[in-house]
Amino acid sequence: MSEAKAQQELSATLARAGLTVPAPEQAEILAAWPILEELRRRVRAGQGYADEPAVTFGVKR
Amino acid sequence: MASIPDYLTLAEAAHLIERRELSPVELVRSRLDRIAALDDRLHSFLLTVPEAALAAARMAEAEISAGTYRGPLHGIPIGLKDIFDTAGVATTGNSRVLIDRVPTRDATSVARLSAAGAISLGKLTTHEFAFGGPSFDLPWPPARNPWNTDHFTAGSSSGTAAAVAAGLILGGTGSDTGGSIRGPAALTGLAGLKPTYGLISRFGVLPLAQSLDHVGPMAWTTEDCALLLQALAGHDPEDPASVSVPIPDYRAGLTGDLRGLRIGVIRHFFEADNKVSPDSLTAIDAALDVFRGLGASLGEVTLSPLNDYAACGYIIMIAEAYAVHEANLKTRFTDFGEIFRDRMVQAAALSAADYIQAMRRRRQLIAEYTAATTGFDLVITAAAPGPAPRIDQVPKFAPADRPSFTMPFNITGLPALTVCCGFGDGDLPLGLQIVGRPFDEATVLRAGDAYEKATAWRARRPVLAAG
Repeated sequence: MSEAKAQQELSATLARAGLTVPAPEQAEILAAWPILEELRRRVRAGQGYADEPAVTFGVKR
Repeated sequence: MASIPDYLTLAEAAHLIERRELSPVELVRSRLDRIAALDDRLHSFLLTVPEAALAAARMAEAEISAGTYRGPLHGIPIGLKDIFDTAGVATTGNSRVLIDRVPTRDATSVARLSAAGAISLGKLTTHEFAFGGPSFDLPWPPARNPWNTDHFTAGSSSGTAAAVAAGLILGGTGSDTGGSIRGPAALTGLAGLKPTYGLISRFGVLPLAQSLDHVGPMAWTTEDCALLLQALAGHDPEDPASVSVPIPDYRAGLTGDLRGLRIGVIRHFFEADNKVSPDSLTAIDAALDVFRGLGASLGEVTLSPLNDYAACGYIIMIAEAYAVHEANLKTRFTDFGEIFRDRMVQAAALSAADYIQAMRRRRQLIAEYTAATTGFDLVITAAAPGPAPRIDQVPKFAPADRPSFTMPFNITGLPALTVCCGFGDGDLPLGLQIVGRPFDEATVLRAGDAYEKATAWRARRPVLAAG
């Protein structure tokens, strides 16, 4: 992810979440953005049904 | 009565108290004196409750003198991480957000320890809301490592670790969402147990991440952890994750006999995925030889890369933590410490899909782990990358940057014990993890205890002089 795109995503995140972050901290968060991206990439594998339904009605599956 | 040694294990003190050779009042007084002499450099306590502690000690002494001995925690001075609610005593999570908070009820775990006769000396330092650190912008400073106060204790149960290692208390409570018991235990040379998810109630404990949070004991020895666990374990309807399972006699299970035990070693975690320091590698290999010498057989376990566990755990952790703190983050952002709030900004960037995918990946990892460890009674791997780093050299986003050895067992919910396996550079402690099957704390503790008794590490203590 480019720095510009990361900056765009951070700005959007702060606006959406209603967070006001001091500028020096924004720079540090931005610098760590690739780490977060890598973490997200690592869990984006699945597309099928999750194997543990939330609703079980007490029936063992 | 002879003067009380600077260092006593919980089991040693309990033995003397039961035989009325050690006064709980004198023991508590000696620990309060030690706190007064040393804790201005260690910062392990946020607050002490000397009057309440001495009153409880006098009551314990009277009960024991009258023949009412409650068990091995009776009259034992302990400490409580400052995320455990204590009726009438501030519980702040070391955060300005809760700086004036005084609960009206004890956490279930606190009430259980109290009922067993343990005496709290006060509230122990934690990273803010049990996450992040070391932070220097919180209401109280970070705890220092008693082995070298320029070094980190790890966290977040940092105060408990420092206080036990320094002999200020004989045991204490920790919480563990990604390693907050086992990391500090490793860096300060303790035994620290994260039990199976659901074994110990979290009611009355400030939450970090609901699906990963565990409560557990920290002490100098595995035997001491077993004694604390005996009081802590048990079903509590007030914690929805709590389970009702039989609670064995953990201490009776410490037989020292490891013959026939099958141990799997997750070697790629610490040799390839996150290479530990050379001194740690040597110590782990030597420890494996000890287990072999005690009669266990060793095999190797291969799992997904440690980074997959780290990614999955970190995303779940920050997402669930954000759900807890979202409202305050919007209105009181700068009342949080910088490390905590900046990690929460990362959480705000996550989507619902990220969390769902992380939970899906978690189920895959659990299934994989279960299959890979079939045929083993225990699993061993590293607990930390090496000895404690300097406290001023810990990166802000450390848990996201370098995968922890402890998170896999928060994801799987399995019981995991850190024990000291030697000393490395700078004479700082090294640790390893012993992991068991669900609710089989007894075997984990048996192995940890046998290892400690077969090695000399428990005889070594930090050298601390009053400042």
